[in-house]
Amino acid sequence: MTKVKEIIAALNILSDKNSFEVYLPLLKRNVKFRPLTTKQQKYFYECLKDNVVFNTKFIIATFNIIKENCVELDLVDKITVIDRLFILLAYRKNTLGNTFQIEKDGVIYNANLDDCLKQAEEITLPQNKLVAVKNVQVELHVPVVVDQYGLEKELRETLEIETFEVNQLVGTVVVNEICKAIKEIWLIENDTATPVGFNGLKYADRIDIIENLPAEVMFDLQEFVGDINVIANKVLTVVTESGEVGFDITADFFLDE
Amino acid sequence: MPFTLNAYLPSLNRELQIKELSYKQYRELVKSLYNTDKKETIQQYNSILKDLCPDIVNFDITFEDKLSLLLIVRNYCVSPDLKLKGTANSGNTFNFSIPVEKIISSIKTIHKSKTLQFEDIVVKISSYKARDEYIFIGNNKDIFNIITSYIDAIEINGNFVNFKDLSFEDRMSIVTSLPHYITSQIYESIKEIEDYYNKQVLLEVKNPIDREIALTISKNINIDGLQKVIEFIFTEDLSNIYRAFYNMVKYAGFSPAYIDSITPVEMQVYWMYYIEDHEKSKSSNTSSGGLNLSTSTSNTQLGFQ
Repeated sequence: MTKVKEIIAALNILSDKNSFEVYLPLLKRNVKFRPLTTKQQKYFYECLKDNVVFNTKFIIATFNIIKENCVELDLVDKITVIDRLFILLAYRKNTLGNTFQIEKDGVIYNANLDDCLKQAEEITLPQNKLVAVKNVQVELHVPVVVDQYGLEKELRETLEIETFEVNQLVGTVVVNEICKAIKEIWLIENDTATPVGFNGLKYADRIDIIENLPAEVMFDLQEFVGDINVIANKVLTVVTESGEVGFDITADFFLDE
Repeated sequence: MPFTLNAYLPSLNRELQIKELSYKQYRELVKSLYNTDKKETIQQYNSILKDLCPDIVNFDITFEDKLSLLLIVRNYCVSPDLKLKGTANSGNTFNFSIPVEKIISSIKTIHKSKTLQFEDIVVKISSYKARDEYIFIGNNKDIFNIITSYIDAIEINGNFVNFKDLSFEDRMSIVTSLPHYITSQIYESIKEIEDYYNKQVLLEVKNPIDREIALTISKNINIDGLQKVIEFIFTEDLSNIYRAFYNMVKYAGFSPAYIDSITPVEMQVYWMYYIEDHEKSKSSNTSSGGLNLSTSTSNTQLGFQ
């Protein structure tokens, strides 16, 4: 067993040596990540059967990869969902090369990951925003991967495939996105703002609170989430001879064609 | 000192000595094939091989090595011919025979060993290991299992580990810690080797009437190929096995312990002597009343007439 541990230790040292850099918009600098191991590549195969709406297994797998491979461990709690996109694009480039194909309306387009990655230095992440309505104050931030992972792990990791009504599904997706965007909620009484300790609550409880927020505050929340999604969609868009084409990052993005 | 035969391990390109297969061991090999638990069958075969060839514990023998050893003992201790019965598309059956020596010669030409060099990592591969055979039962397509079984040794910056000394789980933990780009290239090499041997024939069964090919087993020996050939060379009607033993003890007068210790082919020789003597005494004895002995055991493998 000692021999096994020695070899794995030697491989970890090698992994550090072969780490590559990813520019993160959050920190406006490069951060090093170790290359994918075979075990981590296996995670993607396990994601081939996944929740198609929420990509639960894929989100859990990619969070684990980021957490295991980020050389600066203390950064993991701060990495945003936008940074995550650049990290995943960089991993794809590191494992399968710079070029990839997108299919849209039956047409296949060739694209370069470098075109997506160079956007990292041009993006400015939205500042935190305070929204106050009546006796409620909500602080919004760009969602972090810790919450994206935590939500899926708590609410859907063990879920069997269910059938949803479309409008019910849309509502669930919207509330989930808002949940990730909320950093803190204060209740204001007699000019005193009391935090509810949103970040310390279970995700199911956070959603209960959101569903009881005044309707007026929801519009501002949805607008903020919409701004984040615009940035994310821009990152995952390439310019082709037919115009702009968007793509998704799912498990098969990382599997050999 | 027990009589030994020369055997060849293709993965190591080396010869070693193997003892003769006793009737008792032959009976156990045949019986094992009737076992529905494939893992038990594999364990029985591997255990008998270790008895016959103790030197193999020093090596991590491959599927090709295991087949080579079994073919040698089959050739010299049971019968030099492999006789099969096939069924044509028309539904007619046909007999097919091939010298076992021909299959042995084919196995000897399989050399899958390779050394792969990556910047700081050297990986030696050969083929599927015989001790991993049970892993592939029902699933011979798992890339990570294939890579794990193929690897002989890894060296990383002066740290050398021989996979022979490790359990499958320990080997898998090393493989899964390798950078993905390395396992990807290892698998590409394995695919290249397997594609090369897939195009070469180890055993081809043809209908002698219309030359139609009924079955082909390539030199790329995976679990299906290995188990199929083992079935071919050791499948026997169990009642023949027991009848032959019974005849030797009851009529020829040999002790059960002695019969169990000799090879099946030696047993055949003794039985032939017994029949000859019996025929002679029958022709010189004109009156009836002698034992009305069966002279046939219908044992096609042992060649009892």
